[in-house]
Amino acid sequence: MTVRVTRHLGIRILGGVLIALLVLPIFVLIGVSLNAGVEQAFPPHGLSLRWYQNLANRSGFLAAGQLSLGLAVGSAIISVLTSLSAAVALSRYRFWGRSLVMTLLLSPLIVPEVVIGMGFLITLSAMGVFSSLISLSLLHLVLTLPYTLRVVVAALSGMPPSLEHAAQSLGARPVRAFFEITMPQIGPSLVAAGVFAFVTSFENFTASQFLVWDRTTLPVAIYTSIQTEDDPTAAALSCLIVASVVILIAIWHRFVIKHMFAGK
Amino acid sequence: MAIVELENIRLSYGEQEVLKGVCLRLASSEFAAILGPSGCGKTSLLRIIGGFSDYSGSLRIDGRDVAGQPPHRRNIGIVFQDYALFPHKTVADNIGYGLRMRAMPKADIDKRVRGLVDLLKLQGLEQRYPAHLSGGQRQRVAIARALAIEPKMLLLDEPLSALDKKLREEMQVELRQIQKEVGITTLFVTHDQEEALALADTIVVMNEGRIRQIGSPSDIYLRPADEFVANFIGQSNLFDAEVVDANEKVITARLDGGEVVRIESDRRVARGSRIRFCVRPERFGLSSPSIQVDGANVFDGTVDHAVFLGSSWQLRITTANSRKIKVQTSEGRREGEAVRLSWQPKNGVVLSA
Repeated sequence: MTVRVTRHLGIRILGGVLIALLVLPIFVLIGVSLNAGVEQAFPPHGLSLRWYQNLANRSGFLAAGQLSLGLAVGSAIISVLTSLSAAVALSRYRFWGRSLVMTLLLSPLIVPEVVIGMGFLITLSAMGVFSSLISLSLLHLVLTLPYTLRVVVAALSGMPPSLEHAAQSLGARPVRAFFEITMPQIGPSLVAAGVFAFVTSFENFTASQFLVWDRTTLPVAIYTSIQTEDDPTAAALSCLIVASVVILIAIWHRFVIKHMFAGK
Repeated sequence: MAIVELENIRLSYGEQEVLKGVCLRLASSEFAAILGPSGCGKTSLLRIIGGFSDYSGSLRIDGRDVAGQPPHRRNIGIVFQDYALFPHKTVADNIGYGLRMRAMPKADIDKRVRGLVDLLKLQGLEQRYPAHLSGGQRQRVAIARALAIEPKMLLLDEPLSALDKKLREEMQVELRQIQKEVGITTLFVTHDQEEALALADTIVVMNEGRIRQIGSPSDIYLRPADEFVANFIGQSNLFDAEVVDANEKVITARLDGGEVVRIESDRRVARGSRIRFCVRPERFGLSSPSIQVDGANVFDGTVDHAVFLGSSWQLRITTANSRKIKVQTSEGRREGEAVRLSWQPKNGVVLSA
């Protein structure tokens, strides 16, 4: 890939400003988290890792982190499997109500999250469900489905039907043809869909905050924390999240992207 | 090798009738081509035989009706138009896939794959992935993979259309050799008349969901059954005429321009009925206007267009009553020159209405 760098000064400055706006808050955050003092101050008053150590005293963050991670992994897996079944039906068969099903599954994209969160809150409490685990699991499945479904439908539609037909003509049962021929082809897309779902679930704040009854998610916990406390513990936690994301992306590039293009 | 019989095969998509009662019988080891323009139903017919499409009518392979038999039990080798090679499998694994489905021991699979690699001249490419093969190589792999399962018959869907002209001609020769060597009943679908003429023992001409004619390549070319076949395969000159006299061998007819011609034909036609017949462009003789040609039908005219094609000339001749005739000849003629066209009664073919 060749990258062409523009020589126009104005555009260079604009680009620089935009990148700075993206990156600067993270640097400020890192600075704040390394504070030796007790305030969320930038530049930091002396350097220390004490707020990172202090995370150990905040069991609330640990519980919230576990819930968020569990929700993200769970909704990624279930969402990908659900979209896979839905996408097979939607892309292979013509049936009555097909486009309605498609529209409904994609609708969480256009409905404001506040509305979805409220809807879940009212409906679930009317049903007598007051478990955050159950309600958040349902909510995150609904929120992630549009992303995974789109990716999986696109992947399946891009597969020529002749591939599975060829496998069948060679003696493979339809199910075997699907798993041995189609799945390896759309595998990378399924991983990508899963990552999308994971991120969507993990970072969700707006809709999730309506359903944090007995347990809370990490974004909601951080938000609550900075409203009530003014020490840099939340900043330290945010930095840890940024660091894990950076590591994950590095692994992703090293293994998944490379693997995706093997044999192509 | 298998005998394939299709009887009154019909297929509709909603209102649209794609196949309108197709009957066809392929003898064992026969190499047949279904030839027709796009949308004539030829690919649908292939899908039906492969087991990928509904139909009504009866389809028998070796005398057994295969209705309801799923594709994976049919044991029919298919070469798809896009080859449908498995992108994540090597050449060897692609060829061996069908054998693996049959749970054949690995050593036997390897042995048969090696045999096919030799037959299709794929040596050295066994460990490559399809993305790293040329178009011609991909096609060979697709053929090898279809043959590996020792199928009852081989179906090929426009197998050469993705190749360039030179490669296509090479593959034609090779495909024909392989088919003779393996002796497998083969049906291939094409819209390219040259391909059909070059490859097949039998050509099945289809149009609008019906078979128009079944015959050897020379039959189809020299004795087209109807106007569609006459026009679709090669070029032809069509004439409308009224029968003045007819016996078992010869029809005498008066063209709409007034000329009276004689055509050898065993068709039963009534005196006074109207017929349409065709004469191929290369069946005309050219001479000077004054020369008598015994027993032949003659038209006098002038050359109004002459194109040199290398091995022959293509002329357009306008007769006295402004009829335009396409002629292919080995002798050159100047535009504007007066000529006498002659054609033998045996070279006129009366077409079905």
